[in-house]
Amino acid sequence: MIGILALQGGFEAHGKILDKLGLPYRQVRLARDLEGLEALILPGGESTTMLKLMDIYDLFEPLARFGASGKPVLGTCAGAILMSRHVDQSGQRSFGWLPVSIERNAYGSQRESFREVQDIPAWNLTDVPALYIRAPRFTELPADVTVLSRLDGDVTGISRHQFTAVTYHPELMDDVRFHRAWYQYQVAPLSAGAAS
Amino acid sequence: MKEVGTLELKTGLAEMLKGGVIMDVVTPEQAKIAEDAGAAAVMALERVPADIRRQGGVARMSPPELIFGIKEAVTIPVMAKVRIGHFVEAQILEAIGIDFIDESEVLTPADEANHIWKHDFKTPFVCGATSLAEALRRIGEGAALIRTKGEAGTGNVVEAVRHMRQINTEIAHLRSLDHGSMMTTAKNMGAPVSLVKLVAEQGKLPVPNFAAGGVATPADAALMMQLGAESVFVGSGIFKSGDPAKRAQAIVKATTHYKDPRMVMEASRNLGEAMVGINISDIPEGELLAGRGW
Repeated sequence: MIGILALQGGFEAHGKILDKLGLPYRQVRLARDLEGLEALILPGGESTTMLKLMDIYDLFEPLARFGASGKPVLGTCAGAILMSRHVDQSGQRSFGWLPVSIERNAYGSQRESFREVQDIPAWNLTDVPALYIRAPRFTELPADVTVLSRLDGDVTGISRHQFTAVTYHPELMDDVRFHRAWYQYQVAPLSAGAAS
Repeated sequence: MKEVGTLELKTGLAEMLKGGVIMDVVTPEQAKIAEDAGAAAVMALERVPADIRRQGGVARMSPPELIFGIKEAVTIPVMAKVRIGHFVEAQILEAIGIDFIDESEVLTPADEANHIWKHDFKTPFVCGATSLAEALRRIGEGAALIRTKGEAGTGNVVEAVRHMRQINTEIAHLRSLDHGSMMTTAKNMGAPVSLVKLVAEQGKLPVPNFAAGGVATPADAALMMQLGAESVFVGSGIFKSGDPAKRAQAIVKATTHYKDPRMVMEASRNLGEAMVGINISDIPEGELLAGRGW
């Protein structure tokens, strides 16, 4: 069972993709919803809003523990912000699972949002369509982070240990290959390990 | 190749607002209160609908300096309203770099025959609707998000409920028709046949559908969510109440946990005074906002 954080934002779109792949999932709104999950998706939306709601619903610590427990986590857009160690210059709070810096709304407002296709060689994927909506940008990356995707000069997708973060929205497309590959490369191996 | 301003990108931002609350704000200070309470976005306007209703006169787009002030105060998306048909006000908002434009019946219409041709803009639009046909006409013009009109500034949710149920009922009816009757149905509805057919096939609007107009309590918000709204706009309900910060957070709570009566009950406790409501039958016909636009 995969959990999708459903406080606000693109949780439904991720659910639709998992439905198409036949992967069972549960929406996570309270700490008890995390019990028994094999992996977690932090969707896009507003990272500041989500942080406020995590405080209101006492969800920040349980989510932090989930990430530290070694289970796979995927973050898209706002989810990637929540996973990064340093956010902007503002020092916005985050789980900090990935030792990287990230800048919010780095490409401008909605007017500057765009669609682009890109390759993810580590997962043997080419021409994966993705939307960048008020997207963030990774600004500092240590050498031990695996680069998944690039756009022009920017790194747009990374993974390290059980954590995967992309600054775009693969879930808003009809294309299921991104989620299938994430499951195959990041979730299934760990789930199998846990089962044996 | 980078594509910008496509419908996919516009509805994409609407997707990111799902399950959240969008709050009307008049000043940067109110915007900050809204953001701190957990709003997913704010709607900048010159006067909240309850004041527009009370004070009368022509209601227009907010002055740019006010919108800039609100944009600076928060990091969540900022929306703003333009008059129905006033495409130059929309051009100004696009020049400001607003994230979403609400072509709103709450303001005084600038064109009684035409809504804005929204495909001309890179910025996404939200429009109000009272029926499926009206929703599809707006989507046909390029709207990326539909909301119920409700009756803004009344603190009375009855019209929002009517509009949401109306759209749900019409969608259910469309689903029961065979595809051979699509053109006649579209003709009778006064809506684009391609969109009528799409809704008949998919059983839902091709863009997200939010609730607006008269939401004043956490229970109102949860009611609209249970009726199928994917997010809630709250106008006068927050800053016309006794304790805006507390009520704002309570409405957010009830929206996230709308299926959980215990959470909605907890959210409803000790909120102080709700805004004073108005019965729709007490409003002279000419002052009803939902009748603006077609």
